[in-house]
Amino acid sequence: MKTEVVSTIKLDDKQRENVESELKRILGKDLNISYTEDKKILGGLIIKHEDKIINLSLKTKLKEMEKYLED
Amino acid sequence: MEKLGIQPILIIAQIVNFVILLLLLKKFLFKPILKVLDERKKKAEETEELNNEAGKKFLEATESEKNTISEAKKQADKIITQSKIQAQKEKEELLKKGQKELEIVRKKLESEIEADKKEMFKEIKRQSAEMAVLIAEKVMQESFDENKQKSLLNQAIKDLEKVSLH
Repeated sequence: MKTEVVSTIKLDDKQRENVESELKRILGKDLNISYTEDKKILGGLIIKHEDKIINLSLKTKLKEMEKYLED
Repeated sequence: MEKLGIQPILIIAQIVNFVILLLLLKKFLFKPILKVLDERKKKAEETEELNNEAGKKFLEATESEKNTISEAKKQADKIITQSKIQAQKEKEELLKKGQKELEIVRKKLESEIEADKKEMFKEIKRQSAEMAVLIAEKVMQESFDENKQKSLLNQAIKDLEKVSLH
C-alpha cells in the first residue's frame, strides 16, 4: 500500500526513522513510503495513505485559525 | 178750534191715514227691510266668525308649522352632531390603525437592518480573517529559513505520535 509523506524540506535520516516508526504504528507494517517536497504546505507534514490523510501542515493550522477568527 | 181753521175730523182722518200708512209701511216696507238688514247682519256675523276661525286655524297651523320646523331643525342638529362624533371616532380609529401598521413596518425594517448589519459584520470578519491568513502565509513563505522549517517538521513528527486512526 502506497503512503506519501509531504514536507517543505527533505527529511533527514532521524526524522525519516521517526516518521516511519509512527506510520507503522498507525497504519500497519506493510507500507510503501514515498517522500515529496511541496513548499505550499508552508511547514510540517502531510501524510496520504489510500483514502486517509493525516494533515499536520502549517497551512492547515492557518486555515483552522482563519475559521476561528471568522466565528 | 174752528175759529182757528182747524177741523177735528180732518185731523182725525189724517191721524187715521198716518196710522194706516204706518201699518202699511211696517208690513210692506219696514218688515222686509228689517228682515234684509237682519239677514245681512247675521251674514256679516257669520263671516266674521268664519274669519276668526280661519285666523285661529292659520295661527294654529303656523304654530304647528313652526313646531315642526323647530323639531326638524333639532333632529337635523342631532344628526349632524352624531355624524361629527362618528367621523371623529372613525378618524381616530384610522389614525390608530395607521400608527399600528407604521409600527409593524418600522419593526420589520429595524429587524432587516439589524440582519443586514450582522451579515455585513460577518463578511467583514471573514474577509479580515482571510486577509490575515494570506498575509501570514506570505510572511512565513518569505521569512521561514531552513532552521525554522526543521523546527516545524520536528513539531509535526511529535504531533504524529499523538495520532491514532482507531
